[in-house]
Amino acid sequence: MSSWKQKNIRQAGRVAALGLFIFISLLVPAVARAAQSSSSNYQVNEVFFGVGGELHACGTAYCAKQSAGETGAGNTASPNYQAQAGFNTDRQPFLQLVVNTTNINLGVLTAGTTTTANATFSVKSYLSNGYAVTNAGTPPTNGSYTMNTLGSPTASAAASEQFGINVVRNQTSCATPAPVNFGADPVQVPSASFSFGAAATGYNTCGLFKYVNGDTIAASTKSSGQTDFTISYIFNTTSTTRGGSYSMSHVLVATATF
Amino acid sequence: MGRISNTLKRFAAGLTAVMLMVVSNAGVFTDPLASAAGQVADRSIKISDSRASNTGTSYLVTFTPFTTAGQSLVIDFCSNSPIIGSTCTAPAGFTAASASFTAGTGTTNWALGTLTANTVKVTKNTGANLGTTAVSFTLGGVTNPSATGTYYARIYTYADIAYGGGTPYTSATALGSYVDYGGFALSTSTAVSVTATIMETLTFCVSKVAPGNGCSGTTAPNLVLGHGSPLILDFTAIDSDGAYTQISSNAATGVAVNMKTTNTCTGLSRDAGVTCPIPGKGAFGTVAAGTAFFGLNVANGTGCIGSVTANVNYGTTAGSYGMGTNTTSTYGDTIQGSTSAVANVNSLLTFAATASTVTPAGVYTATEILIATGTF
Repeated sequence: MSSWKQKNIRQAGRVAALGLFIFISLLVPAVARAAQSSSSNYQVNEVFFGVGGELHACGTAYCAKQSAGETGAGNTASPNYQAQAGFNTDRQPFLQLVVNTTNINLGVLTAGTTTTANATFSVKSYLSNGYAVTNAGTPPTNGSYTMNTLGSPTASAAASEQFGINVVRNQTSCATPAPVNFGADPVQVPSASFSFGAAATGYNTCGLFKYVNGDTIAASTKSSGQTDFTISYIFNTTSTTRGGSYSMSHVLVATATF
Repeated sequence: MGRISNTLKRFAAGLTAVMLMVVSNAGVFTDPLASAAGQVADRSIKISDSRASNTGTSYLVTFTPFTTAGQSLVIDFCSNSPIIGSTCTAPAGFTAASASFTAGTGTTNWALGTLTANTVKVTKNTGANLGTTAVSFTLGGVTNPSATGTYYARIYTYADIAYGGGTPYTSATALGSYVDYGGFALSTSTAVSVTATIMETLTFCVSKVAPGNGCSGTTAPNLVLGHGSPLILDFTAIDSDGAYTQISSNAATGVAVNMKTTNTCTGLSRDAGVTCPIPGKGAFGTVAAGTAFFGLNVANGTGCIGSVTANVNYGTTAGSYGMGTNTTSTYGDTIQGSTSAVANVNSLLTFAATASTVTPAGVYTATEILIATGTF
């Protein structure tokens, strides 16, 4: 009788202990989140499944993110939602625009001859719904005179005064032949599985050039790794194109929507 | 005994259930972000210029509130993190302390609150509460960070105009009772500096026959005025001969053509320019045979690109002529010109003269020098 009673009390105790264990163990992740995020308030955070890594492994001097046995990584997306898979993803939104070519000196332009040039820039954006890179600079000016710009995608015409750009590879063999082979298509780094930037409409056709201040020239519709873009510039002048020095500060603005 | 045992089990199970309920709702009590607050959607900050240290930059802020009835908001700009509530380091060189506010969608009559270098407060003022549709406004006069690269912004909205009521916002780590929040990433970068040079050009020629493009096919402009054989001037007729000028130039504000004579007087001379028994016409006007004069009529020019017009002292009424006293000056008298760049524009110059009954006999000459000057 006494033994039977003790047995039931022990069972009840085990149930209570199990509940207490669950209670404590469910509180632990919140502590872990705080350690990872290091903010004063709790945040919606990354979720970690599996045993092959640790997001916040710290010694006295250094911290590391670790992963092992990771089975899938990268961006996955539907039209409305996307997710970054992998143990070592970051929860901080990110946008980076790097212009690699800072100076282009075309020297003396010759009337009736097309002059070309290239500049490169890179963009990456993380945890965003995409980004847009826009022109934010007036076309080449010579004092108060502004070189004639192409307001819509137009083929190069050496006998006309023209300034325009595009963001693709131009070849003389294109449907609209480019004056020379120059430029490059956007390059996804490390691959098209992770990066999704593309030339924007109006600036994405071989042999056609345009320049409108404020136009979007490159974009991604979702979070993207690095995309390397090449801007192709054309200059055509005539005998009446105003003489003097032309200059342009081609400012690029990257805007991400989160 | 069995009843006691069951009671104990029920108690333990009940305790466990209560604990689980407490755990499952723990976030409600400990995490302010999980309460009524929500993350603003479709948020972006578009800047008008990405160059580091650029002044007067406009920041177009756009977002869609999660919670309705927002009445004020705060934006922090940070160099280190967009994470709400974490330490915010002001971007070096960045300042919005003198920012202006321009209302956009859903923010009509909203106004700036207090400003610091990296914190902007905006309140509804006399405007309406925020809804849950997209809103926007522009902060002008902002100076970008001095370094190129990524920087961040954080936004918090409040259900009152005091930025959090009893516990208002005081810093990026003491946010007060906000309702919505969101982080942004922005980036400064260098610009592509593009320079090119177009040489100033001026091509000018004078020809007896009309020149082809590029002053091709010219002939020497040696004119002989007279009639009969051999050619003579007398009081019975006005005799004329013509030559052409052609101008091409990318001069921004055009080209002026001046004419000066090698004679000391404006007319025709028979003593190497010392005297001019056949005087210059003077003011542009009609002439009559028998009244000695030497004059010029300039026609308006036509050609490929642009136009060259005659100076009023030399054209363009047919049969009228002029010859100003400035033709003896250092730089001569302006006879024609353009107001913009021109290409291959030909103009006909018609020189005419007549003698009077008392004009001394002799061979009369004048060398007229034509000078084109572009203004670039």
